[in-house]
Amino acid sequence: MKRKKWNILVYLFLGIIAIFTLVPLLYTLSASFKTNPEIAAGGAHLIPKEFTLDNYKQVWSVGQEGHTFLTFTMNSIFVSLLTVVGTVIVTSMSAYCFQRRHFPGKKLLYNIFLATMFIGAGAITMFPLMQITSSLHLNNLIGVVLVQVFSTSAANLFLTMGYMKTISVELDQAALIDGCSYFGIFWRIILPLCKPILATVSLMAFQGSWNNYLLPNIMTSMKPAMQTLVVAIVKLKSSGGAGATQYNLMMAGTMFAVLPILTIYIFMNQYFVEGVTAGAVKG
Amino acid sequence: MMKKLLCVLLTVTMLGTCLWGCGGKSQEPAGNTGTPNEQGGGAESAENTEAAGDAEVVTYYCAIGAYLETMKAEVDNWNQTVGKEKNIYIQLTSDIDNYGTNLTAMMQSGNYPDLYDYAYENTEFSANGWNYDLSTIDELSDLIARFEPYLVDGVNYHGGRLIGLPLEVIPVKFAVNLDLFEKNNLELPKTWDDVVECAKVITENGGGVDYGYGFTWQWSGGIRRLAMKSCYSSTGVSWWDNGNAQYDFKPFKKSIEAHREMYENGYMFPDPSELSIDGIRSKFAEGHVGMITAYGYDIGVYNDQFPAQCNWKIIDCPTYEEGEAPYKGVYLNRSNVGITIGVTEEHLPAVVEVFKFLHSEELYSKLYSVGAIIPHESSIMENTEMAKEVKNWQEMSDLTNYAPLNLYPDNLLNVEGDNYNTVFQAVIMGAAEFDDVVDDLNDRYNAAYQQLKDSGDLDLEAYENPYTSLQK
Amino acid sequence: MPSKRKKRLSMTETVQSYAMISVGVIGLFIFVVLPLLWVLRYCMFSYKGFGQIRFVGFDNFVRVFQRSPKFWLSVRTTFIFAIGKLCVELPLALVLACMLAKKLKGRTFFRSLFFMPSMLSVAVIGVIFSYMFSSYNGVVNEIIKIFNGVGGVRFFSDAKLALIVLMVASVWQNFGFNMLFFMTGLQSIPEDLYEAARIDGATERQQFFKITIPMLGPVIQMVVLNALLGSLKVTDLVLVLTDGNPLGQTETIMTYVYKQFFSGAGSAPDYGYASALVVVSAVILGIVTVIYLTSTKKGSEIY
Repeated sequence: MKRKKWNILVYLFLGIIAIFTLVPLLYTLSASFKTNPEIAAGGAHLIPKEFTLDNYKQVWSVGQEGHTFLTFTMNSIFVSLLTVVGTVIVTSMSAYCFQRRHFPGKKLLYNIFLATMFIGAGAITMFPLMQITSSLHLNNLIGVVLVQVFSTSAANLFLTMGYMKTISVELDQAALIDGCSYFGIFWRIILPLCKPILATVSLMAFQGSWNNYLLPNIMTSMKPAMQTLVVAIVKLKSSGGAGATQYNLMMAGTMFAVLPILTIYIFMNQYFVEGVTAGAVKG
Repeated sequence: MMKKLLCVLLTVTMLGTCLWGCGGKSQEPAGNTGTPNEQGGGAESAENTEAAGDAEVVTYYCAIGAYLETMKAEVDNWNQTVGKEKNIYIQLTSDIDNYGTNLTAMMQSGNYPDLYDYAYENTEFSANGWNYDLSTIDELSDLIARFEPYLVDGVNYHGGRLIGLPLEVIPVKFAVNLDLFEKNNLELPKTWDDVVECAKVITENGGGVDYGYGFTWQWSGGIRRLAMKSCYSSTGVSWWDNGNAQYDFKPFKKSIEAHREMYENGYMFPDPSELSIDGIRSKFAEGHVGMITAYGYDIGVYNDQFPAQCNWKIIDCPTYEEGEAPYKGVYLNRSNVGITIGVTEEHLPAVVEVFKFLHSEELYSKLYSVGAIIPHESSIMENTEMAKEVKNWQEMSDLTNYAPLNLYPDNLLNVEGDNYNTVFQAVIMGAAEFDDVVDDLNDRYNAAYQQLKDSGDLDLEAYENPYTSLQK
Repeated sequence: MPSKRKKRLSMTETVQSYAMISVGVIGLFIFVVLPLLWVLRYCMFSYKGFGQIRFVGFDNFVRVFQRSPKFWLSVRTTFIFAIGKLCVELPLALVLACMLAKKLKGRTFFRSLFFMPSMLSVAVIGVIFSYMFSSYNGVVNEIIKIFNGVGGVRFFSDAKLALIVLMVASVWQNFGFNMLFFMTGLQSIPEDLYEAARIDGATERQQFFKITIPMLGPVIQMVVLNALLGSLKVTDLVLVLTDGNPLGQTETIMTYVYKQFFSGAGSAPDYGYASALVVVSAVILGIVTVIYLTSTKKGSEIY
């Protein structure tokens, strides 16, 4: 009886939060089918007065110099997937070293990582980044990947470290006794156990990279072949006062963004769901 | 099963894009004289890139927004015809958001475009020596002569160097909703007092749906663009007085106070704090706003993007008092095109060819005919037939008795404390009194200008030359 | 003999550690530290983006501390924003994570739904929320009209209300993946602990407070730190939704600093002053972090 009452309360709560979450999402979805004047008019209508598929058509046919929507999507996937791979590699290895290993200079490096989190990055560091990547001949998509991986490395590092702390040290010791090398401990024990946190970090990295506008825009300013999807879509809207912003295209473009992120999420879901029992340690 | 499938799909996608991406990467152009082939990077190269073959690429980085499609079509056309003959290919890249930042980042890192757009406020560019002195290029002397009457010191000439030729003119006028005026039996406003009166009547009879005046400060420099630039016929000069080489914000009192009255009494469409410029323009298009300041590009907005559902008309901006003003209003010199310093000797002829095209009478005529730009030369306007109906285009492009906007050194100063946009916003919202704040504002700006002058960083002569040339 | 072996071990350990960490550290230096240093080098100078770079010593810092009332206002606003929003968002995320970690029908649906807001780019969120809270015909005002008869609350022209809108938008955007982080943390708590507690007769609430929270300690600590720093550094959302209006009262630290770097409506950038601001805000955030880490040290130690 108690169980049932509790369950009802839980569902009620979830329902309320669900409505809170859904309303803006529904607005976004409905806006993607509206014409621009209708969006700019605002209002509480969820059902568009003038239902139109034009926005999607326009986004689909976005292109400059013969590069199509497909090109841009491929670019986005390329950049985002590589960012994820890079993030996982860098984060897991660094977190392991900081968390489990001792070496001279560890405290110093740790504090440097921490310090970079205090300083607001973003548009402020655009100019020097451009200069650095240019001089390394990296102002292309690979450069974008590298910048994205490392600019969030501190935050990801700490989140992963926090998770790693919950993995019992005795596991390490057991493996050591069994003759495992340090890298082996990492590879065979820690890494598999960290799957949930790495899955979450990669999800965030993918989403951050996919939606990232400023960085790819400035680094691929003159190379339309290398633009990512978000950059190409934002270019569709002409703003700055002269000419109206095409919010309708932005909304339609957003819908295109949701799909791959959702796919990655479903893919990663299995890692969330897996019950990772650290039951290997008894007592 | 499903998960395994997704796993496989993901790995395949990754490998695929990796190979594809790496292939594309190795083909990136070296600097800005690469050939289009290298930039293709993919199987789907359309006819344009194929046709270019090994043509010389001239990159043009611009901030064109509203008429980008038309411009692209013209550029494509040129590429296919004249460009093919001369083996030149124009690569047009447009970037509207963050244009200034991106351009600066590119210049600083050494990745210059060949040609670029500049609004005259980007003085840092010439101060850093990033542009070519056009008067040193012989092939352009004819072109320069043609534009001679319209070249402005400080906009086109910086420190004696000619850095750009003008593309378009953007007048500042007033748009009114004729339906609302008729409905309320009102005459078109001539002074700012009229504006407040009309706004009052329209709002009172508007039933919470129609409002008299449209305004926003959710647009960077909204107050500057909407409330201050529309006053020139009365003030005779901007807040920077070139003749006296000093800042004076006092002449704008009438307009700011008029706006304040309208805000406090609710005659402005709610709410300037939340509506962006697009929001208020769309409301005007829907017919719920009586009056709003309109710039040249708004014609395109109200014709194509937010097609106006009401009868609307363009009139001159209101004055402070009844009677004739020395001139009716002001226009901005925009989209000046310049050549960057990155262009090498061998590359220059091709760039010059493209430059000539971008300033050709044919191009201007074409752009004028679709309501895209208003050129300086009235001869072009008279000799062009409109390609389609563009409402109020003739009224907007009538520049008789209009003067060019004078230069102001705002973007060169470091002013401590609030800038005038913020200060005036406070006045309009009723948080401050105009008379209380204006003296301090003047002092701070003049101090900042003095500091700039003393530092000797820039040649400020252009800012201290009074000029108003009237369009005949 | 044994001491020699220990030495050899620690050598290999050091070498291996350096090898593994090298990628991260080198990347960090090139792509993060170097650009930051480039920006910060101006803090003792005065530079407008053109003209001379003049040495001014500590002038910029003096200006930050003595003549920047707007900056300190933004600091205050930011803290109110961050703490207010986190008080709602983090417990919400935690509670949802706990609810959805159990076997509940439809939990995948709820999980995916709650995650969706974070998939949208900030620009879109800004547009949607500014239309939803619009005073003319926004959905929120329509609902208020139903209950109150009079709508037309001008959310964006009142500083407090605008801040609330910002908080709501931020919570909406972020609670999903904070919930995800907590869920991953929950995965790592072994089932046996709960089993044992149940056998011993512990109630749900006791289980929650005595097992879940302590075991989640380190995860909670890091997630809260991440969320705290992220909220204190909020920029994009504010720029898109309110741009600091009304009258600069919803400026946050980072939007204020950001605006000093770019020639906005009517002034040249002052890289010197802006760099000094970056330094000062970094110190502020650093102090917050240190206070936070030391006071939660206990919570992060388990076993």
